Amino acid sequence: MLGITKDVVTEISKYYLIALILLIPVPLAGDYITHVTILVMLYAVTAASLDILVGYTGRLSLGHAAFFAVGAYTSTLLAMNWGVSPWIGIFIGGLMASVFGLILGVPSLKLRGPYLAISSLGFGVIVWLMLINLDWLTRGPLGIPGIPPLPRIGPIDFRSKVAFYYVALAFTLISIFLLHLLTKSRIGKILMSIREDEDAALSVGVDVPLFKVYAFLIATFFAGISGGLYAHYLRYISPEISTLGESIYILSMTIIGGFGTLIGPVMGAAVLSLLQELLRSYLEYRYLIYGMLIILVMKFFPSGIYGIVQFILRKVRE
Amino acid sequence: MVIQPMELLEQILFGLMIGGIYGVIGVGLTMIFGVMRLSNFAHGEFYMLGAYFTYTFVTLIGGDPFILAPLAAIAVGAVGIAINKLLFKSLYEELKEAKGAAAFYFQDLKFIMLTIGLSILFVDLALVLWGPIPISIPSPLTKHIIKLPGGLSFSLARLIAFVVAIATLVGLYAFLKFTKTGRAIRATAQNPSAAMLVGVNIYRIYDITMFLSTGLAALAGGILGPIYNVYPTMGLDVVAKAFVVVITGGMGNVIGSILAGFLIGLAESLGGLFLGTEYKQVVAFVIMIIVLWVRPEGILGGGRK
Repeated sequence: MLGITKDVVTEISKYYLIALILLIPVPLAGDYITHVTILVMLYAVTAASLDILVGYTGRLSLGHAAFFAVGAYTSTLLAMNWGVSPWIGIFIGGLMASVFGLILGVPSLKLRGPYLAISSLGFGVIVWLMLINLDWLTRGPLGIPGIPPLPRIGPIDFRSKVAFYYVALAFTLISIFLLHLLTKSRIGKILMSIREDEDAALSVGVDVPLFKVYAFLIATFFAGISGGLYAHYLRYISPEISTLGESIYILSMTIIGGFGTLIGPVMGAAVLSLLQELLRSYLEYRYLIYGMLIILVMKFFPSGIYGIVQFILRKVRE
Repeated sequence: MVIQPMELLEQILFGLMIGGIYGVIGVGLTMIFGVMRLSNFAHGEFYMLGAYFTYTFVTLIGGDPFILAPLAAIAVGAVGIAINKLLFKSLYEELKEAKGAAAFYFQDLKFIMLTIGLSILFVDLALVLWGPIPISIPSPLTKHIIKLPGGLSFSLARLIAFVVAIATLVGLYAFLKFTKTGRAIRATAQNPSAAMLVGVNIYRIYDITMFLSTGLAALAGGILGPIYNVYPTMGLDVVAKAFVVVITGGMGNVIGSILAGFLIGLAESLGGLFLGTEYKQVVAFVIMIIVLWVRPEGILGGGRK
C-alpha cells in the first residue's frame, strides 16, 4: 500500500548500517564530544522532520521549535506530576506535539508561501508566551529543573552520557530511517507532488488537504519526541527552547543543510552545531560569522551543504 | 476589575500613537512584498539601525533626535539599496525565469533565508558596534509633559512621534498616488513585465522601493528611540508584529497596512488593559489568526494567498 519494495529497504539500510558502525565508537572520544554529538543527533532528527514539511511538502514553517518544546514539556510534566515513566512520556509528548501540529496545520491548510511562514511564526510565539505565562503549570520563565532521567534498565543508568548516547543514537537512526522510507513511499511522492504543483496534484485527484495534515502530523511527532529526549537528557528545560530564534536555528539547519534531501538537514545540524562550538571563543563575532555563512550558502550554494558534498564527490569521481 | 473612563481614554490614545508607528513599519514591509514579492525578515533590523544611526548622529553632530531621524532614515535607506543590489538583484532575475509553483516556492525560501541571515548579521553587528546595554537617545522633548484636562498626560515626544508618523504616511500615500515614480511603483507591483513593456526600469523601481521600505522602518526606529530603549535585538521584537500588521492589512496593500497598524495598536493597548499586560503580546497574533481564517486576503483585500 505504501509502495515500498524490499529493494528500497535493503538499498537504504546499508547507509544506516555504515552510520551505525561509524557512530558506535564516539563515546571513546570523551564526555564533551559525546555530549555535543547527542545534541547534534536530537537536532538532526528535528531538522529532518522539518524537512518533511519544508523540503518535501513545500510548507514553510517558522515555528518548529514550538513542537520540540511541547514534546519536552509534556513528557517532563507527566513524569514530575503524575509519575509517568519517561519512556512512555516521551512517546505521549510526540503525540501531544502532533496535536499541536493539527492545531496549526488544519486552519492553515489554505495558506501558501509567506502566509504559512508567518502564521507558523505567530503560532510559535503563542506557544512561547503560553509557556512563559502559565506559570502554575510550567513555572514560567524560570524553567523546570530536576527533571527525572530516563529510568534505568537493569544495570544501565541513563544519567551517564555514554548510556544516553546509545539511546539517542538508536532513536536518531530509527527516526531518520523511518522518515527516509516515508519519502520513498507513495505518501512521500504525493507530498512532493503537492510541493511541485498543488493545483495539478488536486486536479489528478490527490486529497491535498489530507496529505498536508499527514505531513504536519509526522513532522511534529518527531520534533516532539526529540524534545522529550532533550528534556530527560539535560534535565532542565525553559521556554527558551521554544523561541523564534530557536525555530530559525532549526530551519537554518534544514535549509543550509539542503532541504528536500533529508540527509542534508542532518548534515546541517552537524555543521551548524559544530560551528557554534568552534565559534564559542569568538563570542561577540559568533553570529556575525553565522549570519554571513547563511547568506553565502544561500547566495552561492542554494542546494546547501548536501549540494556542496555532492558537487565535490562528482569532481573527485571525474 | 473596574476600568476608569480616563484610563480607557489614555489607553486609546496610546494605542493610536503606537498604531501610527506600526503603520509606518508595516507599510515598508508590505511595499517590499507587493513590489518584489520579498518577505523581508530583516525588516526589524532596519528599524533597529534607524534608532542606532539616530543615536550616533545625535552624539556626533548634536541636535534633536526628531530632526536627525530623517537623516538616519536616508542613511539606512542607502544601506537598503546596497543590499538590494548586492544580494537580491540576481534573485529577481532568476524569479523572472521561474516557472511553476515549486520554483516560486524555492525563490521564497531563498529570500526568507537570506533575510534571516541578514537579520542575524545585523543584530551581531549592532552588538559589536554599540554594545549590549540598552541606551536611550537623549531628547529634551521627552521631559516636556503635556497635561490634558481630566488628569491625562503624555510627553511632547510622543505627540511629535505620532505627528511625524501620520505626516509620513500621508506623504507616502501622496507620493504613490500622484507622482510619476509612485505610479511606476504601483505598476510594477501589479505586473512587472507589463511595467517593463511600457518603459519602466523595474530594477530602479526595486531600488527605490527598498530605499523607501528600509527608510520608513529606520524613521520609525529613530522617532521611537527617545521614547523607548534602543538595544541590538529591538528589531526582533518588532518584526513579528510588523508581519501581523501586513497580513491583517492584506500583503502588498498600503492602505490596509496603515489601517491594520492602528487596529493592532489599539487592540494591544486595550487588550493590555482588559486582559493584563502579560497577554498583550498575544492579542496581535490572535487577530492575525482570525483574519487569516475568515479573510485570508486581509481586511482590505489585495493580498495573494
